[in-house]
Amino acid sequence: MKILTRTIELLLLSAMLACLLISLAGCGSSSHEKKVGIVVPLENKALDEIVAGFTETLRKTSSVPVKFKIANAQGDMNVQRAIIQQMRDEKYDIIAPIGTVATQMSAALIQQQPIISLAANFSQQDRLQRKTCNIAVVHDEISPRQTIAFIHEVYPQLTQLTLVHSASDKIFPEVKAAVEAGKEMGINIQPVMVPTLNELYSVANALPQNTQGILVLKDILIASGISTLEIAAQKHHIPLITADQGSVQDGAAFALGVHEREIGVEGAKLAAAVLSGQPVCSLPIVDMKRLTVFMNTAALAKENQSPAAIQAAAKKLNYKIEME
Amino acid sequence: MLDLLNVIITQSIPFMLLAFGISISYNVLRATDMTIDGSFVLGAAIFARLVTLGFSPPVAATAALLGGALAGMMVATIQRGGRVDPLLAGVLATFILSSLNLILMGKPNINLLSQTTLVSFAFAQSNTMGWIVTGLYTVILCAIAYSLMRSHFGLSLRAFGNNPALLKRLGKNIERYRLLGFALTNLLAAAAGCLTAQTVGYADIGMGLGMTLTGIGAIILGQQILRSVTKQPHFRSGAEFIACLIGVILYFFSLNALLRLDIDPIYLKMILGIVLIFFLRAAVKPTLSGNAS
Amino acid sequence: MTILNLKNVTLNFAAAGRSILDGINYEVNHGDFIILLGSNGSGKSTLLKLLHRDYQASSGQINFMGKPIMQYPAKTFSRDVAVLTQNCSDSLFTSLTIYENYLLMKQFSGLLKKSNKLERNFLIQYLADYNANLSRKLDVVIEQLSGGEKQALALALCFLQPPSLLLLDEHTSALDPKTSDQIMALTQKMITQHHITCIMTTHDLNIAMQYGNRILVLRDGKIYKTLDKTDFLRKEDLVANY
Repeated sequence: MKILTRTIELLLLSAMLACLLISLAGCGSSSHEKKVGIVVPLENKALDEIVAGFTETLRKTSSVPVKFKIANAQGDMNVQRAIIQQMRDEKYDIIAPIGTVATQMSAALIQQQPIISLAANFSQQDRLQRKTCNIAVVHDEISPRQTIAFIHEVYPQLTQLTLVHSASDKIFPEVKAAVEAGKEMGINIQPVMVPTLNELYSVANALPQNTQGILVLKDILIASGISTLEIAAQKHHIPLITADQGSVQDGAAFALGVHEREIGVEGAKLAAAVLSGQPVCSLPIVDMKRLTVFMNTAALAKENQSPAAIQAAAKKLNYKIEME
Repeated sequence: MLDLLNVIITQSIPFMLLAFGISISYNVLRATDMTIDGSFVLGAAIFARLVTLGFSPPVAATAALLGGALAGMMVATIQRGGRVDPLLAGVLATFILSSLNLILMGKPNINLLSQTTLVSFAFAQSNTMGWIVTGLYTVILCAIAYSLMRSHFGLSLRAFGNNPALLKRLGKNIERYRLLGFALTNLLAAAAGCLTAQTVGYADIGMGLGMTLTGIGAIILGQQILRSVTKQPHFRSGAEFIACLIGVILYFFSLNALLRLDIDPIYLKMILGIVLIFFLRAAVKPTLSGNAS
Repeated sequence: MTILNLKNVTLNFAAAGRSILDGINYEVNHGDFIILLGSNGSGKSTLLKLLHRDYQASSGQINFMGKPIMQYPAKTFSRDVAVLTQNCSDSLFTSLTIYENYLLMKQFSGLLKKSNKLERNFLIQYLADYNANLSRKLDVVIEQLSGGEKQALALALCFLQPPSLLLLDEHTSALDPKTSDQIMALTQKMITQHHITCIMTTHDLNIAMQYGNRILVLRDGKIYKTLDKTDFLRKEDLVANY
């Protein structure tokens, strides 16, 4: 029995090694197809939407056939680096990292191949300071000022707002901007930081007594725990306002945001241009301009909020409305 | 094949410092020190913040190393007198460091792509030159740590890890060894973080996640393999270092090889674990007692 | 000359609900070899731990060389008072080699280190007096030695800088009879050679008969009987007083 087990183990090991050697011998893809690698930092619905928008659009608009590799790094830096280096070494035609950290790492490790960065905090200045200009960016931020202005339009009487946020890379300057915008519009915005998801429950149950609404900016960590905040909002009969479509689908009352899919679509347009021969450096940095108001009428009802005010404000500011 | 070799070497270089630090805490101090996750980020955080504030890279790097040493002293102080288990102390220290790192950085991510660092001048010439310089820093720091471990100080640290009660009975101040031992291991972790940040272009609050466990896995793997080859059950500093190197290289070999086999990264860690188990079982013969020999 | 003076020493443990040692009065003179005899729970190991400062007396006084025992700095005390227990891992760094243990003990005793070659040559000669195998195993890790070899080594390292007081807590009880006899003979030889005061615990009447110049019988934490070896002492008398 022992001999049998040991033999099976050795056979399996040898089989794996054989596979490795065969693959290392250079079984590549067809030479006609262009290889596009998408680096997803971690599992998330919003990122899935970006990927879907990117891949579907590029398939349709690219002048050449495209083969995609979607690699999820699961929040592990070593895995992410290995993924990016593999795409570089296998001479992928385009590498599309999602998020700031994946973009920074790609920019550090890849000097030759074009990089189309999606939903990252990478400015024109950052681009120009590089030795080689091989990166184009689609920003996903909407200005917190726009969000606060919309809230003020919907609820002119609102003066106290709790802003729940994580410690993620983009959020701090946005929180600061939101607080300042609030001051100008007569809204006292109280930021509450939640470093890990475990602490969200305690925060949701300890909201300031006088708060008239809960706001969550574009924040992947908090968005993943939105149902906890939704329960708190229902209990207090106050609106839960977010900044992305996914969290409204998950139970937030309404959000002013961009379609995550649209970020992917814009990125695909850049990628298609690169694949048809345009130098990546000539491409502009894309800011998402078309804003949409996502509404969840069921959630609004549970929070005792009327959709009418939101619809009126959206119409006035020329935002599209979408019911979830 | 060359590409694979290249990525294994480039990924292993900064990680070696971290792995050596973990090896010292695990094998010599006999403690699983989770602080290393936090110290790794601390090194990157201090370096990135100081460089963006205008300090010279050598000054920033020195501060990063000292920060790591202080983090180690903090966890040693929590453990003081053996009142708090080392594993728990490490977890508590990591909590503290996660806030501290955020405070030090001022924001969760600092971009280093356009900053002058210890290696930017070399990478500006070529990738190869950049990695040679990065490798040199790693070798120098590892060499210093290695000579310390070979000295009487290293022997005393081993004695502390093995039998602190006897050491205390012999009139030695064991808290001093605890303090210095953990200072050394976390200094190495901070150095790894500092170097890694410079090679990946950023310091990020989340970059230390899972580093300690990966490191422990790598060194245990290396030790098991070396034991089966040399038939030696006990190691000294030289063999410990080589075991470390073997484990790190094997880990990154497995990681990159699996990716190149087109395995979806979602299954990567599971398969990596299974592959490593097979390596260990094939390499190590069981004894009559059922324990690994 | 009195080396150790115990005055009304009592040790209480709250968990036990009684005194583990109760009103111990005794004087140990320089050169004495005291056998502490008693059944399990009589307090003999506890008394030894008290003398080695692992515990502190609840009341009473223990003077060592004229000074309260707790006043000695750790370093000085460790040089003057040595202990060997049945678990030799307590006295050795088991994951280090013989040579490394020697270097550490030597360094901690404040002795200067010579070159590696000189040290190793010295150690080979020195260990030969204790156990023939040890000299050949300088680079072997302690864990890999036999019980007898470990105990012989512990003894050897203990006598690198001979202490003033040696405490032996059934240090041969975990060994087979032949090895136990060898270690006991070695211990006696070293004690005599270096004129060391020794207190040894045992529940083995044969050892009690064979070694020491005085026997202290402990019962329920008190000194039940003191027997002088200069008396005409037979094993039957010892059994009667046990």
